[in-house]
Amino acid sequence: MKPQFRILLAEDNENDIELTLEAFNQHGLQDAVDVCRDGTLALDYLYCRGAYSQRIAENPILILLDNKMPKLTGIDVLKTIKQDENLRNIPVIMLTSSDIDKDIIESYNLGVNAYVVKPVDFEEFIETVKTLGLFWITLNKVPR
Amino acid sequence: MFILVGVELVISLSLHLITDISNVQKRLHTQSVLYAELLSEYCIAPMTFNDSAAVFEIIKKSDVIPTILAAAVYTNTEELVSMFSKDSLLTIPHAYIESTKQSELFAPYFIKKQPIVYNDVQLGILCLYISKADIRKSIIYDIRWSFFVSIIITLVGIILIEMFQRKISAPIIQLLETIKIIRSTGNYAIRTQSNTQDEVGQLADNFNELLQQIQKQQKVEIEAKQEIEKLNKELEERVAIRTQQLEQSNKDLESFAYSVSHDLRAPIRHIDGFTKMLENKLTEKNEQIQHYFDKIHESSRNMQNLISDLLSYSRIGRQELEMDFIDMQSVIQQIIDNYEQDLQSRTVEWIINEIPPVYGDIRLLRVAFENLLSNAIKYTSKNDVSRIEIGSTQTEQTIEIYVKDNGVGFDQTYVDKIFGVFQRLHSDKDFQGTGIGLANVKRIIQRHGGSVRAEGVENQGAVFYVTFPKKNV
Repeated sequence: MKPQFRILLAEDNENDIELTLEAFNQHGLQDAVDVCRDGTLALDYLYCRGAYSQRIAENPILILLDNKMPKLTGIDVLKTIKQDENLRNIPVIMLTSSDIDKDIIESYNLGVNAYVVKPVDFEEFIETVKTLGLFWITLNKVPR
Repeated sequence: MFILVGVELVISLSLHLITDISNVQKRLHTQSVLYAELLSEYCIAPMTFNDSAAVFEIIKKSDVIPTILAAAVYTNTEELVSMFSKDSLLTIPHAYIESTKQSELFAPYFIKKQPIVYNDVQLGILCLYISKADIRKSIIYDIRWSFFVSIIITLVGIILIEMFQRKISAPIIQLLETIKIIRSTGNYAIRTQSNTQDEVGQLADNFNELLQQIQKQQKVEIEAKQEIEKLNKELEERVAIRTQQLEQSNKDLESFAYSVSHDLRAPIRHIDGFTKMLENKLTEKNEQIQHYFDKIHESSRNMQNLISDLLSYSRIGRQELEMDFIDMQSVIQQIIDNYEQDLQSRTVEWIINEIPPVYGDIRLLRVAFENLLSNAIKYTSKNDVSRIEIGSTQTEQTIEIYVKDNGVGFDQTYVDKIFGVFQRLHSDKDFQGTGIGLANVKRIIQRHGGSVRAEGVENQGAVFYVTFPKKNV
């Protein structure tokens, strides 16, 4: 059964995509995740344009952004989302391997909802994904 | 100068006057002797005959001689025989008197006596009153002349002095002026005038030559100085450029290390992740397979630790310092308190001495002392009783904080390696670690303008010293 909500994952690295999807899979959320392989595609997805023009216009319940992506970076995408009246209330999580202070500060200044550094240990990563899902999908309330 | 000339003039004139007076006096005497002898000769005959009228006739002849004022003839019995006088004021005594007055210097006349003798028989005495007017005239004449001469000499002297001054003083004064100007302006290009060939002229020439030499030397010095300044400037510029290049390449290296560290993390994560997935898929595993899986996980964890340490090392180098006075006593106490939980199973004896405040960045200093203290705890872990001492010493310019332990210590031979990046003196099996801790400590302390050193004895313990420069408030 396909869940009612969508989770947008913007990630360019195939390995990371596979591992992240596996983590969601372990919590039965694999089918809820839509993957965009760069920042431009992520925005196309959100605005239902280009390759996503046929998509049912419904905002995802959660957006996960990698920072280092071709064309538009995660921070670029975040900036656009938080400036858009229609998108700004969607929780956005930076899910990246970078813990550079500059990136963290910039993300928070742009209004990111959480900044998570991917743990190297896979089991820890699965735990992290579980925590994120539990909090942002189940516990957190967003304006309707 | 003038006084000297005046005194000399007075002395020479006086001498001249004295000799002149004596000369006139001598002349008068000789004349008077001649007149007296002549007249007394003429008087012999009348005196022989006691003819006073004839005597008068004879002595009256003295009228033509201007220096003879009066004449008188006395008998041997000193009675006046006859007298003749041109000067009515002059009184002739009637009896012969041995006058004393006549020898007085300022008397208007003097008396010349001459006995009248014939064939060795004295017939009477002739007295001639000789005027001293000639002497007076001569003196007046002399003084007039002297005055005239002295005026001429003075004038000539003044002219000569003026000439000498012009010749000697003027160039010397000019020389002095030149020296004064040079002293006040430092301009050695000025020259004094030299118009003569005498000693003063030579002096001026030599002085000018000296000035020329000084000027030359000064020029050489200035040129040398300019050359040095130019070289210095070039050197400074080169150093600045080189420093900039070094800073840039350092920065590049840092950011390279930083991004590489980040990029390295992803593949490790992938290796670990896929290995875990593989491990989960394998339902049947023997011990050896499990061992290999464990090794892969362990290696990726190690790699992860190394990367984290490298990142922390890089971050310490890049982080901006926020300097303030730090209460090191409480910072150290807080670090120790944080270890309390971990050390419950061990006996650790802490000796904490007084530690002064240090001017620094609290975040970095905390990292440094966390490293030093965790090392002390780690390397005393095999002791029954761990003793860790923290204290400080101060000099006028520095504050030194030491951390001393009674742990495994180290071989002092390798002390140079101990602060190197990823340098370890103990195997990972004995004591876990990546070898970044002390490198971080060194980097932090160096960024504070301080230095680190260590002393160790194998199996007896180690002391780590960090030295900070004192900050003057």
